[in-house]
This record gives sequence, C-alpha cells and structure tokens, in this order.
Amino acid sequence: MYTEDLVEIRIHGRGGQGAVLAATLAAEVAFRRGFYPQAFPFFGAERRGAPVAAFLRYSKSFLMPRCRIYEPFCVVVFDAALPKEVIMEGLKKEGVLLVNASEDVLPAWSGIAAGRKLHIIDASHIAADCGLLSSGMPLVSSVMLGALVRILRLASLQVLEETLKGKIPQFERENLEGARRGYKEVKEVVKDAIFR
Amino acid sequence: MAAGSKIVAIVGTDAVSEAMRQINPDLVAAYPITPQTAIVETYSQMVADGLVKSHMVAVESEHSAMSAAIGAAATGARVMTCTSSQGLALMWELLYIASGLRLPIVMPNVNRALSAPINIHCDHGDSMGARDAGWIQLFSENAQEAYDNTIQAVRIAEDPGILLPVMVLLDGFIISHSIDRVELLDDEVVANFVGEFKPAYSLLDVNNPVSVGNFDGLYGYYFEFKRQQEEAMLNSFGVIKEVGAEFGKISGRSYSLFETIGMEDAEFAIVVLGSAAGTVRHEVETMRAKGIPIGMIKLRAFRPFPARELAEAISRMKAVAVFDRSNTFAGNMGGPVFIELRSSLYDLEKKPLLVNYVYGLGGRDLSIELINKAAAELAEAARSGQVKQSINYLGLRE
Repeated sequence: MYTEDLVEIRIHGRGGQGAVLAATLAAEVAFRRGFYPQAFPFFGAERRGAPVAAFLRYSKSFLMPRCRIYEPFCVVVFDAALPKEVIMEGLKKEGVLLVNASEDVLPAWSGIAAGRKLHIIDASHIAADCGLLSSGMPLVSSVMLGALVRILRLASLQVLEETLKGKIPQFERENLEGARRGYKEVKEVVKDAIFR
Repeated sequence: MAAGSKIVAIVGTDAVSEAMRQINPDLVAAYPITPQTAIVETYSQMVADGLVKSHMVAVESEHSAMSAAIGAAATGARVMTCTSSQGLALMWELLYIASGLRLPIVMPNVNRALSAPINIHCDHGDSMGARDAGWIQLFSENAQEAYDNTIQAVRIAEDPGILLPVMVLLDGFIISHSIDRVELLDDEVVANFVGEFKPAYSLLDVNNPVSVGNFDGLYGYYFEFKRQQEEAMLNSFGVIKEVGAEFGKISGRSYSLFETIGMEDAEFAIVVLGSAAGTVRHEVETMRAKGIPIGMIKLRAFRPFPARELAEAISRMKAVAVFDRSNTFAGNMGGPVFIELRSSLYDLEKKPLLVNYVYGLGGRDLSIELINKAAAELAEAARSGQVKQSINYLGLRE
C-alpha cells in the first residue's frame, strides 16, 4: 500500500547483514521526522546467512495496519543473490527498488525492475572500505540505510547522523561513515545509464 | 501531550521495561532465558546499571519465578514478574495460588503459541489457558497500550476492594519486537500515580502475625474463599474504569473495559482484541469512509469479562463477528471470546447474529485481505439475516 499518508517498505537480506537493524534505524529516522513508525522483522530463523526480511512502515497518522507488508512501495535488497521472485513479490508497479550491487550488473537489474525506479549502491564494497567487516562478510546495514533514507527523501544527512549516534554499540565511527557514503553515493538507474 | 512526558520510538518489550522502571517494584523475580522475553533482559540491565532499585531475583524456572513472586508479595512487597508462552504454562499451579492468596502481583505476558508443534509466534492460547485462574487480564493493541496497561495494572491489582493479580498481555513479535511510537510519562508522574503500596497484611509483621497459604482443613472454607475471588472480580469492573479515567487525566489517554469505533451508526461489527485491533481498525475506518456501516469493538479486559456492557453495545447490530486468536477445542464451539460473548447475549430479547473467526494461530498473519473477506461475509449475514457458518478459520490453508 502506498499513499502519501502510508509508506510501506520491505528489506531482504541474510542473517548477520543487519536488515532488521536497518529497518529499526530507518523507523527511528522516520520518527524524528514526525511520522508514526513501525518496524518489525519477518520472524524466521535468525541464523547467519539465512534469508531474512524486515518490514518498515511509516505514516502521518496513527491509523496503521499491523500486518505484514504484501505490496510494498519500496523493496531494499541487501544481497543481490537472493531469489528474484522473493524480492519482487508484490512490489508496486510504481514502486522503487534499491539494490546492493555494482554497476556491472545493471542490465540484469534493469530487466528485473521491469520499469520500476531502480537505485543501486555498491554497499558491500563501501562497507569493506569503511572497515565494516565481520569474518570477511561486509556489514552493509548502515550503507543501505543511508541510501534508503536518501531515495525516500526521508531526512537530511544531519538527521540521519543524529539518529545513528549512540545507537550502534560497535564500530560507530565506521557505521557513520558507511551511512554518509550510502546517502551520498546511491545512484538512480535510468535505462541502463546512471544518474548521480 | 502531558507535561514532562517524552515521545520515543521503541519496541514493545522496552516500553514495558520502561513502565516497570518507573513503577519501581520492590522485587522482580524472573526466569532469565527463553521463553522469557527482552522485557526482563532490559530490566536486568536497568537494575545492574542502578537505574532502578528493585531487588532482581533470577530464578531457575518460571515455576520458581512465580513462587518467588508469591513469597515476596506475601510479605507486602510490590512484586512483578514477566513471562511468555511455555513459561506461563509452567507457572500454571502457582497462578491459582497467587490469586487464591489475593496477592496483587503484576505480570506482563508476551502472547505466544504453546507447543506442539513448536512455534514461537503470536497466539493467545497461552493466556487463554489461564483465563479461569482468577487473574485480571488486560490486552494491549500496541506498545503504547502495553506501557499504559502495565502502569494501570499496579493500581488495579492493589486496590483494597480487589487484591487480585493482573496479567498485562501484549502480542508476541507484533508488539513485543516491533518499533512503535510511544509516549512515556514523566518518572514522577508515574510514581505519584501508582503511589505506595499499603498492604493490609504482611508475613513479616511480627506485631500482627498472620499465616499464609494454610491447609483449609478437611471441610474448611475453600468454597467461601473462591466466592470472594468472584466478588473481587466483580469489583474490578468499576475499578478498571476508574483507574482508566484517572490515567486519562495524567496522560490524555483514557481507558475502559473496551473501546468502540463507529458503533453508534453501524449495522454490523467486529469484536477483536490485541494487536489485530490495529489492522481491523485501519480497515474499519477505510470501509466507513466508503459508507459501509461497519463498527468495531476492541476488547481490553478479557478477565473480568464485561458481559453486560458488551451485550448492550452490540444488541442493536444485525450481525457481529468475533475474532479469536486461540481455540478451545470444545468441538466446534469456537474461540474463547466467541463463547463468552455468545453466552453474554443469551438473556437478551433482541440479539445480533454472531459469527466466529479463529485466526492467526501460531503467528499466521491477519492480512487486510482476510479482514475484508470476513467483513464481506459479515455484511452478507447482516443483509440476509442468516449466518452461513458459525465457526470459521480465517487464513487457514485448506
């Protein structure tokens, strides 16, 4: 569902990537911008590497459903190797896709997006750059959060930074840098060409 | 917004921990691992950090948690514990002792399914199993209500005319693990609202010695004690409303036994409790905007069950659907709310058609699509004056 009053977002990732954390922090950003927020995981097995999903919903009104999100306005993909059918399920025709991917996979993703607005960010690379690694796995959460906040026009970089401060127990400096870069480096793809 | 309060975005369990910190009970006894929830995890941290003065007792089981709570409450201390699902089931025999001894223990319970099969998700089967244990049971729609109910529960439990334990119920994951907007009251406002507990008796008062938990004698007064518990439950109707109104004065959010939406001009209605009320409310408002004459009742108090007032509220309806997130396995009698409500209507001359939807067992999602399906069937029942099927399973894979 998407109206000006109600924005619904679904995040796909793998256990350990921080999809749930990103949804939670995005809810906090929405809250700071005066919205009623809701963020909740798709409660499944919480194991490293297992596919996970998280939901985010915000509205100007208290009046909000509390069910899962079946027809999101925006889908965020932390791991581009996840099954496309799962990622695309229910995504609105006029919806938005945000993918953690490098520019060389553009043609494939343009096809998958099927006319929807597509944004990409090379979050794995940026996370590694910022030192956000755990056992060699890039922790893309803050980078993807920065990108999401930007494409939704949810808040300024300053509000994003204020939200993150004190919320991340480890690697706060690295995560702040990751969020900043996500915010600044996310790109919109138009017909296989990139607009910054 | 009330003076001194602040608005935050937190998960439901943290909202309850925050209420507990502000209540500052003398003692919290809890089993610290699964099926326990983050309420106690956060609260233990608050105690360790010196943010609250409660004596925190980590016990080896939920059975022991309630035992410790009972022992402490018998001394006249203000006592809380928390649980969920199998933990509540393990407390079973102690639940009756807490209510039978008239100990005003407050216990948030995160509603989750009971095994088998093993399932960790939202379901009201755990607390419904304890519906006849003599506890007051208050359901919450969201994190705000879980917070508000926890604070009010202290006043309700400790009221001299009641002295019954209170369960504050919040839906597993949908409320407990979800980020929600919550308005927190000022610490001092909460402290003043809950006041100081002045117990009539204390096990440790050597000048007025009492004994607690005695043998009834072979043919003693057990029956009379049980009759008095019923009387206390009857008293609680008024007190729940009074405390709810008084809470409204400090917070701007008043509470009663149930809440009605659009019932003044509705022809049919949905009765629902817990977090599903949020989704149902969203759809009811959407349908009403389209001119569909639907209303809803969100039940807050399941124990005591406000039979007379509920019957009155729905008596003018043509048809009413009751949503139950648990089942009774009584042989197609439907869920517990349905059974109670149907019983409440028996003496009425004019009563609505009643239909039951059992939904959401083991966390099966109650989607907007499912609500609309039930609402369409309800509208058809109201129009035709006939119910096709009394007991329905909404969202069941068939």
